[in-house]
Amino acid sequence: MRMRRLGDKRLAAAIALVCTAVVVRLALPWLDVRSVHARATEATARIDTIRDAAERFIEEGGRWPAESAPGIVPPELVPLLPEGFSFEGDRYSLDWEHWPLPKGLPGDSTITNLVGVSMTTDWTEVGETTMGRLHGGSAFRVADTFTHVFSARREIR
Amino acid sequence: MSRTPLESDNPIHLGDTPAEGAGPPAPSAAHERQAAIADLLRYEAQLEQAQELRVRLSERRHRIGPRHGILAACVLVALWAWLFPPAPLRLSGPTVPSIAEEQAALELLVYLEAQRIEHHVAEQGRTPETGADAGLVRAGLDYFPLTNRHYRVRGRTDRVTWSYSSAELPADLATELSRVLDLGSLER
Repeated sequence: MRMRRLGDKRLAAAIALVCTAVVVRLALPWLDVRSVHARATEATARIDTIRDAAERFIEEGGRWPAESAPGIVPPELVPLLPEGFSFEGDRYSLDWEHWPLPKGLPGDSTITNLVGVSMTTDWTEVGETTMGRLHGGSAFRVADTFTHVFSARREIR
Repeated sequence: MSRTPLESDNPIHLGDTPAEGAGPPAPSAAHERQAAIADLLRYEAQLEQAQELRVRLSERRHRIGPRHGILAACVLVALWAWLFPPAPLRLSGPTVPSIAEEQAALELLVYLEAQRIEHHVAEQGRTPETGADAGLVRAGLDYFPLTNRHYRVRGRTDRVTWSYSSAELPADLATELSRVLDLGSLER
């Protein structure tokens, strides 16, 4: 009788284990989407913060902050960003982009600057979701770098 | 060492009658022997029954029953869900841009990065020795100074390569750039 009970318990445990595996598999897409959205929300908030700070900078000084290396906060933006603000996130890094266009943009010579933020990440779903959430501007992707160009505003020299 | 009634000095034989005035008759040795044999037989029968029961239980345990069917069904469902999941259960993988899209994006990027060199030439009067001198530091881009005024920037990804030469501007550059960059969406 005891042996039988032991066998039944093993069988019930095996069934429970397999059912758990099925439930976990059913939940995986939901967990994956939640994870991507959480990371993209954070990245979007950071990029919006950088954009606001850069726009305040040009409002005050008439020029855009200078280019800096990827992952490095442009020194000119430090006072305008929240304390401890970082360009490095979990599995992504941000880069302030300022392209001067001395001869203008082909097709529109009045555009003499383009500014934006690039996001380099090995988690491309996060990059795509983040670019999709940013308002205005234009986004493009080269390899694992996603760039959001948001302004062509002229500098006042 | 105690002795059994069978081993006593006055053994009782079958057919013996109890002595007169000896009180109530003592149980005969034969009866005791028969009772002992009966006990033994009962015990052996019980042992045999227990053994049979054990064998039956063991067989029942190893026999495929409804619980085993449930387990097998669960295993099949789990294998199906993990190895061959239906569309709603598939994890969304990254979308890969088409070659044309990647080519157009690379052309825009190379052109924009090349403008750093252009800016350096406009300010310094000559091409920089290295791309880094003009701020061209992005991975996947190579800078080649050609003369004091001209240069070439080559961009590459795993799938596409594109070169921009300041000496020979591509004729359809404006069209290519407009495919990626929506100028109407930019702040002015």
